[in-house]
Amino acid sequence: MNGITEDDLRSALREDAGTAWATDEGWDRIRGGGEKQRGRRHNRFVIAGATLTAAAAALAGVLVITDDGGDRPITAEQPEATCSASGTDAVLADGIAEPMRTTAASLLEAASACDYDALRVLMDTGFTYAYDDVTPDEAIELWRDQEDRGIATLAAIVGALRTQPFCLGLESDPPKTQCTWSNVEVGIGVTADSTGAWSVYESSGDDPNAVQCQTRLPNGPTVATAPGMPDAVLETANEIVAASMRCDYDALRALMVDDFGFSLTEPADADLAVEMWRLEGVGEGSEVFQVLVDRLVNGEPVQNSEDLQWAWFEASVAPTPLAINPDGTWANFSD
Amino acid sequence: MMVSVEPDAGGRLVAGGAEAALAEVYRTHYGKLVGLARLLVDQREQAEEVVQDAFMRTYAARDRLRGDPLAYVRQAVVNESRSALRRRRTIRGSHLQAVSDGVSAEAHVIHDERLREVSAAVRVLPPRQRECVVLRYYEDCSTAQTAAALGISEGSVKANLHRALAALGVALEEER
Repeated sequence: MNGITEDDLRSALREDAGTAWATDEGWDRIRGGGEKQRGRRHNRFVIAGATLTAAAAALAGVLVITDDGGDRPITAEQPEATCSASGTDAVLADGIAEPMRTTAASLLEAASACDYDALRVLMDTGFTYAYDDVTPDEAIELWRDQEDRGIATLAAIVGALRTQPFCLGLESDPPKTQCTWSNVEVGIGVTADSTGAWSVYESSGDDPNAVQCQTRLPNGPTVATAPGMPDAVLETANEIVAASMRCDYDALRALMVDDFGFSLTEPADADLAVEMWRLEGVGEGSEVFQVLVDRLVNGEPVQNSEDLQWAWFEASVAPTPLAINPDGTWANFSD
Repeated sequence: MMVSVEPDAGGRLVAGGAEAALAEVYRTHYGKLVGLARLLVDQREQAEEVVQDAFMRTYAARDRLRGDPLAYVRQAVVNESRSALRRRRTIRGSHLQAVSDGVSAEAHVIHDERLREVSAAVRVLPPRQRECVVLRYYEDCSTAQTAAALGISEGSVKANLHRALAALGVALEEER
């Protein structure tokens, strides 16, 4: 376990965790608080129902007799809602393609108006909360609860939507375009795609779409090659670069042998290696993609006389290679 | 005394049974859950708040509980801890550095130097790795239980643990 034993870890965590005891008073507080939360949720439905009834009555021109003998139409006026996003300057960046622009504009309008009901309706076109696997209703309830407790969730969403999005085509079935807006300061982002679906993610999550692809080609736009390199090897090297430029983990995985060797995984396992790259990529600008591109473009390819693999070395960065088998399958990578 | 709670045909804990089951989870696991929150948010008082809030949320939704109530509460504690950290980030406008600041000021003492080093190394792990380590080695959760509590795949748990242990090993080597 690399110089640390499981016993050490367990002991340290136990010591650090300290001790705490359950009390009858504590349980009474939980029951009281839990009932209160339950009541608040119930009241939301009651208020929503009353609002709908009043709105319907107003639309139908119904009049009611008031205590002072006068009459006036029922109106559905409610106090203006406030939340962390109230009064924010809700403007989208220029140049966003439809229908992502419309989705984002609707989200921006609903969030900055603190209109949870409108947000909930917008979820009907397809919504995921990438960090926790929650339903739309649960997401709305979570955000409302966070706002109640002073957590500026809606402001964070609005803050994301005001940034310049990164849009890219996805090789799904059917193909679609997806735009990603990131509020890097607080680690929240929003995606919207050409099907009308959208999501909110937290940047410490696992959503690969949360990462903006920032891979850049270094000097020299072609893969470094050498005399005698088979076409299959060169083709795979080019595909690795192309996939890295799109930050496409799945495309990389398709090129890898199942027992792919990665410097930080033991035993060799392609899925585990990709999983680790995803984890490293989140919040760190997809560094592995840039390393792969740099290695293949700047590195020096040589053929191993024993296994005939073609290996790209970049001696100034790492003493170990990125290697491709003669048949074009990708064998290993060390960073 | 353990409370035996029978689920209904849909797997839900029967009315009244859910409350009893949660009370039992509170009585027998409260201390451990506060420890879990403490290891995730680093502040004793906030950890108790986190666990209270987690129990309240679970209690409020007790009609919908299915299966092991401890798993629900544990997941709620993890979620509340994340919210607490995010709130701290939002309020302070800084990243997780602020978390560690709170630790050194706290008056808990770890006598063994080796354990102190391990503890310090765990605190600076990335949040997801830290969650995996704490759930696995403090809560003694299986890979499946850890995945359920964090809402991620078992493969992701394994990868996070692998990465975390490697990082801890390196950090402790550097201490020497």
